[in-house]
Amino acid sequence: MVTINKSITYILIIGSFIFCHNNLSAGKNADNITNFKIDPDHIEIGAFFDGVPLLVSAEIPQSDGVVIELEGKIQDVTLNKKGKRAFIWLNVAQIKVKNAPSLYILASSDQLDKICSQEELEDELLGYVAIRRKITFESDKPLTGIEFDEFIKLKEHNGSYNINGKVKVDRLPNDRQKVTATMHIPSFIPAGDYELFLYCFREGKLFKKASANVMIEEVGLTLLTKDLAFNEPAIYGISAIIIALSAGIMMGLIFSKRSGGAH
Amino acid sequence: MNPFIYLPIAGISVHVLILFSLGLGVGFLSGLFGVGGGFLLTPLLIMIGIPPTVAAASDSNQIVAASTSGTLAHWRRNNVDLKMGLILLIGGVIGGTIGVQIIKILRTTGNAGFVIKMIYIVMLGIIGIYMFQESLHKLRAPLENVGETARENSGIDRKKKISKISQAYQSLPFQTHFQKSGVTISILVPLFLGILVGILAAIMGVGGGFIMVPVMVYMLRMPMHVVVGTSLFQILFTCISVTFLQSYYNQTVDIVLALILLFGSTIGAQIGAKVSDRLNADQLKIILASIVLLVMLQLTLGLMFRPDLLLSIQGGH
Repeated sequence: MVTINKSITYILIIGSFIFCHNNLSAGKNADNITNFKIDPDHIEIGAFFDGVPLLVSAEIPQSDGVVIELEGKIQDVTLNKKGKRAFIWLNVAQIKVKNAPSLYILASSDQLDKICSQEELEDELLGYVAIRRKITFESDKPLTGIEFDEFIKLKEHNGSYNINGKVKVDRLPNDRQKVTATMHIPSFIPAGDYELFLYCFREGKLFKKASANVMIEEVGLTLLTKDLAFNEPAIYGISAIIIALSAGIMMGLIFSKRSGGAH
Repeated sequence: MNPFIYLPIAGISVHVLILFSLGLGVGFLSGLFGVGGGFLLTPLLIMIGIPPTVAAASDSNQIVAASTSGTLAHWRRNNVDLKMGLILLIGGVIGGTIGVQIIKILRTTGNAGFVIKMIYIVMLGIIGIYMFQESLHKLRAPLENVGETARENSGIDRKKKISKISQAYQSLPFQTHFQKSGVTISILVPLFLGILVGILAAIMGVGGGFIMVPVMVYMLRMPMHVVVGTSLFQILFTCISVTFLQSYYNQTVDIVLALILLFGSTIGAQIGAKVSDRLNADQLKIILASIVLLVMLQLTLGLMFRPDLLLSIQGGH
């Protein structure tokens, strides 16, 4: 009888321990971002590369809003600015744009100003508000105030900036949420390392953040061609001429045979 | 299979059929008129998103293939005046070298693109209107034209038509007879014209056929069928040098882009050369004049209307 009681006691103790452990683990996970996945996280630019959809998914604590951001390296670029002189439009100034990300793609579960406050956006450097704070314009001619909007327009036009992506949010048990987003990587993206951030907001404030790297590299014909063009330009130039001449002669011969020979 | 191809130097992907069709269409015009087609293809490539510098340089590379194919086709038809072509080519190389230096100076001033477009507009406008007017005049008066053509063929009116400029040509030294073209002229004239075309070709980033063809027809009075073959011969060698220089100094020749374009353009050039045999000179001239005027109009409107984007990445024309 005593043995049975002891056994029951042990079982109760072990059961309680397991129960508490599970609950504690669940509590710990409930506050964390888990299963943060990017597919693919390694992108290869080959002969038939046409951009790729980047699938981002994660399990997050209960949030009011989620933002996923993919950002390229900060760089300086020189742009030509057009203006009207008499009745024609021509380049009237050169503008140096400093500290602009080479790529900026953002997806969110709602409009940014509904997810978080303006201060939070600026503090966390999210959206065009943050880009406006980061970048500077320099020119030998007076700036007219349209530079930022025109810069964004140019970047959106070539696909390197986009802040209209959507994040899908699904409920999970234990006050958890599953977030998924598909972000389109444009075809002209330069090779390099890109950083992807996941932000979770509650009551307008950021409370969880995670990040991951996306590696983009050139392979195969793309790598070979660029390598030859930039490292052996003379050989590349001669090759380009020989290929063009050969193609021209070959096509000429094909057409000559088809037409039954020369006149 | 993915129909898009990634262009390694341009850094973007484009539908293969779009590039092939562009090459085919421009190659057809190349074979038909003896023009390299660069003045049409470069703006079209820019329109589909190829960076301007890569578009111009790769275009030169594909013109090498189209011109080879077209030159061979016309060579077989005995349509190339080798003597005239070589003199024009020497002038073209000298002019091209001068033109490259002019471009360097224009780029430092920051408005090379505008100057290039203005030169395009003026040149295309003069050539297009002149060709169009003359061809239209002949088409409106077919009966008079028949008689005129007959007299021209018999050589009776040819001397009467020699203008004051032509008389000035005849007073120049180094008079040479160009047997294939059937003209006697000082070698200084084609040499000077070659230099002039070379300068313009380097500034405008094209082979120069659309300038050379009217120059040979109206100023050198060469027969149309020899003009086409000789023009293609001159374009071929001009574009070979441009391809090498662009590859070596600027790394802007996209061989993948050029390959797809040249595949289309070589086929198009052969078709164009065959069609040119079946059309008469006036029909050819009026079609070419219309194309030249349309390109000029597009360029003019492009300068006059507010562009969608006020900023552009530096590096193109």
